[in-house]
Amino acid sequence: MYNRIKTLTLMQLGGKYSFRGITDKKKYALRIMFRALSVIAVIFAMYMLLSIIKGVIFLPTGRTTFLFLLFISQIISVLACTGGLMTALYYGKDNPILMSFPARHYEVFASKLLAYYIGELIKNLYFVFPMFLAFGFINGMGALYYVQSVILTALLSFIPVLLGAFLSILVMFARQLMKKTQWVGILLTVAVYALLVIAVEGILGGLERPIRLIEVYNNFVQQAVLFMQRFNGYALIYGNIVGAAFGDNVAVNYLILLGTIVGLAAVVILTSMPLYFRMASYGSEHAAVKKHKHGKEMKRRGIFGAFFRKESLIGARDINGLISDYLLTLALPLMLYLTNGFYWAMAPSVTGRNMIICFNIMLSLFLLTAGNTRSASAISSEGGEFSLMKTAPADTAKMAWAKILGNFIVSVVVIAASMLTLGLVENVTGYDLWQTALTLLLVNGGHILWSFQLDLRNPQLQEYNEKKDGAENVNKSRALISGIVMAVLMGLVAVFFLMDGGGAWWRIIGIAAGFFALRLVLFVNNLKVYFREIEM
Amino acid sequence: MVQVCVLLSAALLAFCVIWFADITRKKKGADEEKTNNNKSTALKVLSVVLVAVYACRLFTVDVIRDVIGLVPTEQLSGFSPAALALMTVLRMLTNVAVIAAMMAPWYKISFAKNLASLYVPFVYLLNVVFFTANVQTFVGQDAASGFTWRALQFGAECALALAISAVFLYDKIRKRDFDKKQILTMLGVLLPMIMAVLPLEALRTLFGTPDIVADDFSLTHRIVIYITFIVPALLYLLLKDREYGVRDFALTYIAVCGFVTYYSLVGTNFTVSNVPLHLCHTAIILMLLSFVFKSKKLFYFNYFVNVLGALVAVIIPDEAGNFFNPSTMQFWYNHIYAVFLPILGVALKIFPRPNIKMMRNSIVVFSVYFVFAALINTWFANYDPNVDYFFLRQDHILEFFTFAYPLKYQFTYVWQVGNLTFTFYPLYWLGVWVGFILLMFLEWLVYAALFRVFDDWGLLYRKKRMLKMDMLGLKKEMDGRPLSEPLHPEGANMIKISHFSKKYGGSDRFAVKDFNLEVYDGEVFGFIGHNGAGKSTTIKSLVGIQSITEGTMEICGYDIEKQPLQAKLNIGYVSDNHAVYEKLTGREYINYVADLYLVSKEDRTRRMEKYVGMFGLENSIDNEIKSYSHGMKQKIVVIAALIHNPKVWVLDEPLTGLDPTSAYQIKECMKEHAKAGNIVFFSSHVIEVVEKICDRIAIISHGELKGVYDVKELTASGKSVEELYLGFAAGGAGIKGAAANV
Repeated sequence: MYNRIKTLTLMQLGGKYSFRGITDKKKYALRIMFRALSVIAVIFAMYMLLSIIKGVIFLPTGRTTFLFLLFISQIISVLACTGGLMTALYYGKDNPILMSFPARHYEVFASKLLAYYIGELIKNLYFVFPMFLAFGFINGMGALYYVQSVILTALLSFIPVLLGAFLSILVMFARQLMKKTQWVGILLTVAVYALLVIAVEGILGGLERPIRLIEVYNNFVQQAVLFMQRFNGYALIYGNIVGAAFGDNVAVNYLILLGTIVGLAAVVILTSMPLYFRMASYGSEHAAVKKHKHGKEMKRRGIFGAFFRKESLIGARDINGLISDYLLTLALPLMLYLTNGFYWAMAPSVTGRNMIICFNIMLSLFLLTAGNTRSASAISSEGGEFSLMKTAPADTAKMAWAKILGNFIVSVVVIAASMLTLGLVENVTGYDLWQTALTLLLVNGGHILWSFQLDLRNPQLQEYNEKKDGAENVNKSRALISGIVMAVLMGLVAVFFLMDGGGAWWRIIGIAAGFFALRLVLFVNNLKVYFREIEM
Repeated sequence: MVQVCVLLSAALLAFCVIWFADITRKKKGADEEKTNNNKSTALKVLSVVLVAVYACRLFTVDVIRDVIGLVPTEQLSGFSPAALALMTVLRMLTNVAVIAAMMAPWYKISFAKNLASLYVPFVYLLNVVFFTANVQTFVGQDAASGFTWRALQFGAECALALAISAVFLYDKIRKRDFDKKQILTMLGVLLPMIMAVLPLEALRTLFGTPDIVADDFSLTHRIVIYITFIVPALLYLLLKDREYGVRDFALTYIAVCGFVTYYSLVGTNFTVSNVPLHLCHTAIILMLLSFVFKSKKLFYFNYFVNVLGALVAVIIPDEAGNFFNPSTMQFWYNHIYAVFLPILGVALKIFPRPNIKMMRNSIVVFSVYFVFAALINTWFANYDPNVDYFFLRQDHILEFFTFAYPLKYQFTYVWQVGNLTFTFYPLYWLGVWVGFILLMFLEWLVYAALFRVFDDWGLLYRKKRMLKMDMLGLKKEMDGRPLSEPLHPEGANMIKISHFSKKYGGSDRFAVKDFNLEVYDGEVFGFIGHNGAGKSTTIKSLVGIQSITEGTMEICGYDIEKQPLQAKLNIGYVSDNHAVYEKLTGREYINYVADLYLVSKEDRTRRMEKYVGMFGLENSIDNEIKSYSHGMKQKIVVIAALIHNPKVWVLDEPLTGLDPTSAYQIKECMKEHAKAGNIVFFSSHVIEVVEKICDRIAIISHGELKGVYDVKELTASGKSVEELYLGFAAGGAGIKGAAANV
């Protein structure tokens, strides 16, 4: 059994990290040196960050902060592992191959967990380990602390992997349920949104106005420390880890840590073993028969109308997909309401007001452009169906505009809702709502075109044809990155001109319009030239 | 007297060059090329001497620099404002002339020759005319009397420049090479050339010091920022299509200008805090060396290390003096050149685009420079507290990153050697070094992104032009007929494939090679071959899914590449992957396809009812397609393909995976379609089916058409399609006696 697990694990690691690719010793040494340098750079950066926290923000950098940051990072890690393991365990590309090997299903499961653990450990070498060292340096810890850092990093990496494996089962069940019944997803989203609105209202209602950050700074620091201490109360096993690192009851803490890992492993194995194979092989053949009689009339439409209707029908029948694609975008009104509630409670000066506009533009563009990943996979998501675009005797490039229109409508609605929400914030008077809306509309419009163009130039038709919803698309990541860059740039442009004085909005809108015009020209030309070149 | 000496010397030098190169060689019967080589060598020697002589002037006193607003100084008290203005303008013209005279012998471009033969003599003859006044403006009226060292230097400069220009002029006259357009171009370019090497004091001399400060994004500062971006963009547009020599001349000229403007001020004012070790000052020297000697190492050091620093200096200036002040002017000239020269060097292809190796070299050179600057700072600070090369000693950088103060001052090490104190800030230096290296990598990414953008735009532009050309070509071929008519009307009832070849991108191998075929109306045509033989490739190109590498494909006389819409209107296609939108119902899908094929409401309703009934889909047509079986999906695709009643029906492996009933229904449908006078063209592996329903078949193997056979004739001759196919599949030549009409 152990040999089989070892072989399966090594196979997966070989595919992931391609150790065999490097035969040249010099290259190997260089790669190791480069990685070591990267770790040193991260340690240096973390040390600098802690120096800033200590010297500029005046927050303590002792054990409490360490535990707080470690706990936060591990919560994120658990969430990431849950998602990652769900993909690796149940949607893994290698599942059909591994399952067909002469090994038991739980051995495949264990090998997958081990391979994932190695990946997590490597990740932690670049983050958790440097964090241990940076805190060690800033607190002047002894040699034993640094030795323990290595051991604890290795042990610590087990926890998110095991927790993630367990949680992924629950998430898989929820996902399958939502797949079967759309309304569950919609209901869940609405419920979460409503809860968030209530929470935001509660937070904003409890604020003392005006907030004077400098006057209350000492209080802020005290409150922050108090908050960290309270939060650390839930840290459970991480409290023991930090305790062991700082030399408190080392033996007991190590025993608790090891016990937790063993216990978690037992729970995971016991719950996953009977379920793993069934869930990993859950296919799309469970599709329910759905009848739609309303479209019986064979009505004739123009080319654009045909595309738009098709997009609308598919969108309406995949509400969960829509929500998932536009999740961040839909959060914009609430996020603006929350952040502006804080900002305006500070009774900002003229400069502060300008900064608020800049932050609003940045935040809005972050969230709006995140929804444009739908356009960044517009052609790819056609998959094998794209052959129809190639064989139809019509200007099928018009499908681009139908797809873009859907994305554009969503963003217009969200921008309008956001501006309305912004208008509701107390004290927001004379804020340049329509100028902000116009700027967002233009920049986001340009970004939608850009995102589509990314997919047009590099369509992943084969990938989508084979994997459907499970397909990976590099164009989505590119669109996300370009959205972040655009958000930052537009924020900087806004603050630059607003600080400069008169006519600032015209210049900001001018630049936004320039960006939109440039993207439009490029998009139209790219569509004309490259759409016809897409091959399958 | 001095003027006469200058003119005589110039004449003598010019004569010597011409005599050495021209007369003696011709006597010995040497060819023109050899003569030109000798002349060129002689001129290069003269230009090198001129460089040395001019350097003496550049690094010595020039009292006209003290004049402000044409008010004569004590040293130039005898000069009227008009005379000072004249001398300032002459100095502006001379700067261009001397650089032109130095550079012209090294370039074979007509622009350089025109400058040297027409502009240089004009300016230097003026200098000879105003020789005494010139010398007075160098050293002051009182010191200028008689045959001084400065008079000798300037006399030599004039003589050398005139000699060089005389040789060029002699050539020009001899060849009668006076192209008006070229001369006008030269005159047009002169103003920017003068601006590029404007004497730093010129504006202050002429206009005094008006209240113009370029600081904190003031209008002047913004103009400077715009200039930093607009000038290189204009230069790029003007030069990008010129020959290499012109591009090289232009950029080398600017590099020399940068050096001249920098040293015209610093040259007379050397101190320990003024050694050119600040990054952008070093850049000016390195840029000159890299462009003159085409040194890649030095160039890429500038490209990766200096551009960023200079750009920061332009955007957040460290100089807030009056704009007309020479030191302020020097600051702007220096940094603007340091920003755009390296970028233009690559953009105009004087230097190749860098690779990671060049980046690595730059990091090494930068590290050496960095250590050197840090050590020089600690040493020279003993003599001048203002020494601060690369801002490593004082707190300029820390003012922007205040949190890093402890890094510098908590880790300071002082070393006393005799009277000298050496102060080291190792962690701070390390931090700055790491920060700069990171910025270099960031710069690398920005460059890479810009390269990609420019390449992309270039490609887009070229492709658009190709599309236009294709359309013009088609119009020409149609010879006045409407574009909606078939290109070849004689093929209106057939599929015609001529010399079709297909190669996939990046592959050297042809997937299909030199394929020829004609299929006529009323035929059910079978296309058979082993896996990977090229069947799907041919079909995909035929229906317009894939491009054609060579040859043509026509559907009913329409060329699939030149008239794709008209050709596709005649095709119905059933793909091998039966991909359909699974969230639509069967009816919605067919209606959608009917929209794309411009089918009228009546026709689509009628045909759909017919085929839905034929395939027994009445109960499932309003269900979402995702609930359909494989066979049902295939039937939906078949209905969609026939919804516009195409003349040509193409099917790629239509019967794979179908149950006998479904297969039978589709076969019947194919027969019926052909019977109605249409063409049915399909690929299949099922030999029995092909044999049963096809009129003719084509066999393809390894991308080559092996033969086209009439099934009835084949059967009549006692041969089976299976035997034939297996003969080819085994790599043989089919079977004997099977008459092919390829």
